[in-house]
Amino acid sequence: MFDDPQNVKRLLKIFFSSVIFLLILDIVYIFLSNAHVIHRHVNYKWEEFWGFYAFFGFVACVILVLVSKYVLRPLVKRKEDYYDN
Amino acid sequence: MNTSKDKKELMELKHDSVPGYKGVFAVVFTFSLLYMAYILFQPCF
Amino acid sequence: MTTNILPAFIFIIGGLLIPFFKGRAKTVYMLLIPVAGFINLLYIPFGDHFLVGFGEFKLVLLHIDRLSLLFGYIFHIISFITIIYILNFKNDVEYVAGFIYAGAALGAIYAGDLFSFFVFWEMLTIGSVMLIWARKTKAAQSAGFRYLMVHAFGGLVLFAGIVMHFTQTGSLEMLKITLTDASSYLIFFGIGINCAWPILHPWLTDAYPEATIGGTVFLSAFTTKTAVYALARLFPGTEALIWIGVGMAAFPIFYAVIENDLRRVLAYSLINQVGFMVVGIGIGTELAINGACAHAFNDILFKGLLFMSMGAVIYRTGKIKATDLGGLYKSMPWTTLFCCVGAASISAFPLFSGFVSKSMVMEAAAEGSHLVGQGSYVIVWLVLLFASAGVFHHAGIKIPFFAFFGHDSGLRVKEAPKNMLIAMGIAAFLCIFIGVYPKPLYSILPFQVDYHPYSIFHVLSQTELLFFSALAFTLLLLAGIYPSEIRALNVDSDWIYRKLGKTLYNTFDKVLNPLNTFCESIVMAVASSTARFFKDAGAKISLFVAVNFWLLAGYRDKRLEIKKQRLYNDILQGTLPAGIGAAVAITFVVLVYVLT
Repeated sequence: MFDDPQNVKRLLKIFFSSVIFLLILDIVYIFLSNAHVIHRHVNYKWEEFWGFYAFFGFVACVILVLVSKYVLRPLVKRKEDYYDN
Repeated sequence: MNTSKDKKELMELKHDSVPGYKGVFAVVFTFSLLYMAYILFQPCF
Repeated sequence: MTTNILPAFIFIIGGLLIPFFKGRAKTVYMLLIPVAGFINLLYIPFGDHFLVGFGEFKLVLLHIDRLSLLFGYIFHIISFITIIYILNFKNDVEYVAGFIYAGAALGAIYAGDLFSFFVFWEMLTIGSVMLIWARKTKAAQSAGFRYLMVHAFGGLVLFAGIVMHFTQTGSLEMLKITLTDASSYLIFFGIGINCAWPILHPWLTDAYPEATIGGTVFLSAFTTKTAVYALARLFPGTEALIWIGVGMAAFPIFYAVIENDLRRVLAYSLINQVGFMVVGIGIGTELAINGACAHAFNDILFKGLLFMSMGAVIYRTGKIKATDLGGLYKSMPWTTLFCCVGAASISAFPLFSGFVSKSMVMEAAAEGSHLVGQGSYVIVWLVLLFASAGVFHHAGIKIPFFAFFGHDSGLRVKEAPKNMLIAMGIAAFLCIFIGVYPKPLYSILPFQVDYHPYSIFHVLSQTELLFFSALAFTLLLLAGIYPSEIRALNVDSDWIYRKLGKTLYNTFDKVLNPLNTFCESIVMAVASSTARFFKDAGAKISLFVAVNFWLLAGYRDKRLEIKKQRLYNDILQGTLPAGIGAAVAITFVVLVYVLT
């Protein structure tokens, strides 16, 4: 199934489209809630910005990975038999 | 149980980059970072 | 008066009888234990049962309220599922240890007083360490030993706290404790060790990945959740817990990203999930406690499911390192599917169980931040949001991706055995059922709830969060930035007792040993000369008396020597006639009496 690079490409295409679709959906949502068609309950002003959760998720994960790779790993990585001797 | 005893165990599994995606990542990340910084500088209440 | 049976005893006594059954009867019998326990549970009315007077202690072995009932239900459910999962192992040690462990957890959550709580708490350690040792590898043996040491220490701390608490208040009741004096802090930290608080946590990530395939599933359900229960019972609304929980939710995900052993990745994400619960208990509002309990309930299911799917991978391939795995979806499609359900649930995708419980804690934190003096809860909320994105990243994507997709390891194996698939299927079904229809879960929460997870905003925002976390993973991977999987060991705070402790020991060994040897030689010299003296003291004294007597009687030279020798030998060998022996003994006593 995923041995065919064509299928992987197709999957990526679907994924990227759905990501963009979500951002468009968010615009629609903001428009509808401003027109009071949908009631929106938020705790913070931040949440009212377009794509707050989307970009937060993205930035959070990238920072998570970068910190793990460039800060944590150099600090804690040891050979597999570190504790054995 | 194990079908590939003869296969050598990998010490490291690298993830090779696909050409073109470094740029995409850089653009998306820079934009997201700036946008997030802008939002979080706003008062939260 | 009640005719019910103590839930813990059904499991413990029932478990001990397992070895007496054979073949199919054993299977049926083992499955019947949790079922019987569950039915028994349904008929126990609320309140205190099994009151035992024990001197001035009033013990309550069975305290039923909404909180303990909720944990009791899920403990029965996960026991049932796990038993199905391990049916093909045919290992009585694992079966018995599993039931004792589960029974101890049930005993602890139903204990109505601190003393019986402590007794079951200690049993929990015994059952779990058996499950680790049952793996029978050297790594498991030493990890189990460290696990035992840490929990023995934790037990001591808790016990000291309970004793002090009793002497101060004269009560053993399981009521809310405020952090004021030493006793409350001791109890707090005793529970905290089992709850895997930051820095106190490495016993978990050290030992869980070393346990048996089924053992890890058991372990993931009981120890930490019993601790969560105990915190919810004894320390609700304790502010320190919020920050401890925030730490738990945040730091393990960094380790999870660079960890190569996939069961260890899950162990780190277990701490991360427990962090959400601890935050909820720390906030302490009805919504927060409900959220913590609901999340504990769900976590037991989806974390169990994830550990089961990884266990199936070990069972078939004998490997668990990300560097050795990949591409297994072809040979284990069902396991892959169930793993993905577990991954979606832990990541809190809409329609999966995590979605309906994790957000309750988040919502409680956000609501709390609007109150005067609790503005810092905004940070709590932000960190939890960060952790929610991160958990999808490492548990939701990393686990299935590196095991079942990704780089093809070339491993071609059989699908997991039927009983394992059934167990995973039940857990997966429950994860989706609770996610789609959370009402039954909400109805058994400690407080009445009016919480609706499926608002348009919540669904949309959560989907955005998760899709963009996935986007981050995809882009990082394609850009070649994602850290490579490396066979390595990542030191954690267990370094303190695994390396520093050893180094200190060696240093002391080098410095103190010569001194030690010297002292020892002196002690030995004194002791041995004393011993030499006392060895034949009786004989010498008798000789001294006898020789004078013989001299008076006229014995001389050779005959005297022979007589002396005979007497000396006779006394040392005890061949002296009893009468003479007694006489000498009396002489000796008299001599001592006269001389002193």
